[in-house]
Amino acid sequence: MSETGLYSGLYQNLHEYADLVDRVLVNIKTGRSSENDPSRQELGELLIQLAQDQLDDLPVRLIQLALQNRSDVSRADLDRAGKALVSEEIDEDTIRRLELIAQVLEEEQTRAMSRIQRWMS
Amino acid sequence: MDELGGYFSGAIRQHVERGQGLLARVPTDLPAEFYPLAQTCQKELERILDELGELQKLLGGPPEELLRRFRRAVKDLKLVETTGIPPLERFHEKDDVFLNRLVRQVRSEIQSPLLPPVVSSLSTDYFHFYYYFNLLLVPLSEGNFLLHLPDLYHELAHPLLVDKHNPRVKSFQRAWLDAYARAMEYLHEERQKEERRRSPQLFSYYLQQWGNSWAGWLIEFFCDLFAIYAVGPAFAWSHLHLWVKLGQNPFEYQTYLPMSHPADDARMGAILAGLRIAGFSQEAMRIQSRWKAFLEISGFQPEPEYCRCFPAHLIEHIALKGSEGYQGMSCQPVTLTGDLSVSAILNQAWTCFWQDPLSYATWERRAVEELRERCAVGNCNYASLPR
Repeated sequence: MSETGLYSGLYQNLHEYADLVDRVLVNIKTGRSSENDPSRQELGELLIQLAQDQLDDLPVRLIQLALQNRSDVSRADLDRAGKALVSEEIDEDTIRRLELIAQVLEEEQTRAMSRIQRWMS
Repeated sequence: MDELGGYFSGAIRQHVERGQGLLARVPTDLPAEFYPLAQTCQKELERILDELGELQKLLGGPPEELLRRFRRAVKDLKLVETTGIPPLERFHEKDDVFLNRLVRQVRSEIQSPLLPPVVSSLSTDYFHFYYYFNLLLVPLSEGNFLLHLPDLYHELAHPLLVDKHNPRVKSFQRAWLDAYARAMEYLHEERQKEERRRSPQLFSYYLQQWGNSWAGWLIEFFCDLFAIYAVGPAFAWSHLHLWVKLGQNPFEYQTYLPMSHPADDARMGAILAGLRIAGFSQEAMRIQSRWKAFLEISGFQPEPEYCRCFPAHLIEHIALKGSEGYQGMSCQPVTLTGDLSVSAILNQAWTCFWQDPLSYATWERRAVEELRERCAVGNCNYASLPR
């Protein structure tokens, strides 16, 4: 009855989203991203979802809660980045926001890992 | 190649070696019970090696993404090495096979929606569940005793709250979200009261801290409630037993340092509410009376802030939501009449313990032996309950 049940689940879900952000970013930076790119659409929708007040999906809600006290990435940032991804309007500002989100997800994943490791045998 | 590129190139190669080494260490002569874990480790290692291979091709690409992806691959590799592989290398044939068969039987009895975890008796602490390996670690001797085995049911609930796709878990997750919304509503009301009263800032700070911790606490409450609806009073006794032996202040409330779990008394409150909802009012009364007796001799007293952190009305609401969520998954509720299931034996163990604590150990030894024999032939059910 340790924290591993919660944090190992969170670790995995953060991992999935962090991976998605980085893949989309690489595609954008190397000019291989289009509005119809499925991973870009998926990420855009996820970020829009994370910016909402009412979420009826618990795994996504737990990610939202993990990010809620971060002063460096606001819900408005998530919403703007998400909306830009599902449209054609990717600019430098969107890339900067996505970089920030990627960094925050990585930090939260590292934090989840340190909570898991406390209990490792 | 610049210096950073050179670093990544060498470091990636080093981790490829490490991953390949780990892959070679996955034993092949395992009991069938460990196949799912071996397969998960192999697939995870292959995925990480693929990712490292891809990173080698991206050495000239955007460095920020390269760094993050490399760090992720290293973390994943570390988890496989420290968590996934050791239970495979150091499995204890007799104990681990028994525990795995027992957990499979438990899962089948309660008809839990997810596949059972692989169990290893490699924990140096207490019960730990690792979602990404579907692995449950328990202490070395746990399979020789019955009084704490109800805690297995708590652990089986953890993956239900983080699974993303199985439609059967959704009702449990929705119930959690409803309960969480109620907890946040309560804290919001408390904050408004504080503003009207113009109370010292400290209490508003506590309320904010509690708001940050309630998600984690509610996960623990829901896992406790799952256990209560699945195994009944035995889980409540197990909680009492664990606190008596190892617990700290049962009325703890969060001030400055984060609390990973809700206070033990609040957990007992939810457990007892769950027992009453499940129709075990008599047992709930007995357990409550023993709980109070132990609290009294411990000398701990609740402070007013504790009652505001874990108000009784909210705890009752959580117990109700837990029941709704459990039923919504179509899991089997515990029944203790004429039943020869694992849950029956775990409850029987507690009955025997209280009836005659001194001779309990002899009874337990026989009961465990019988349970092991039945699990060895693939049937963990009793023909009749041990006497």
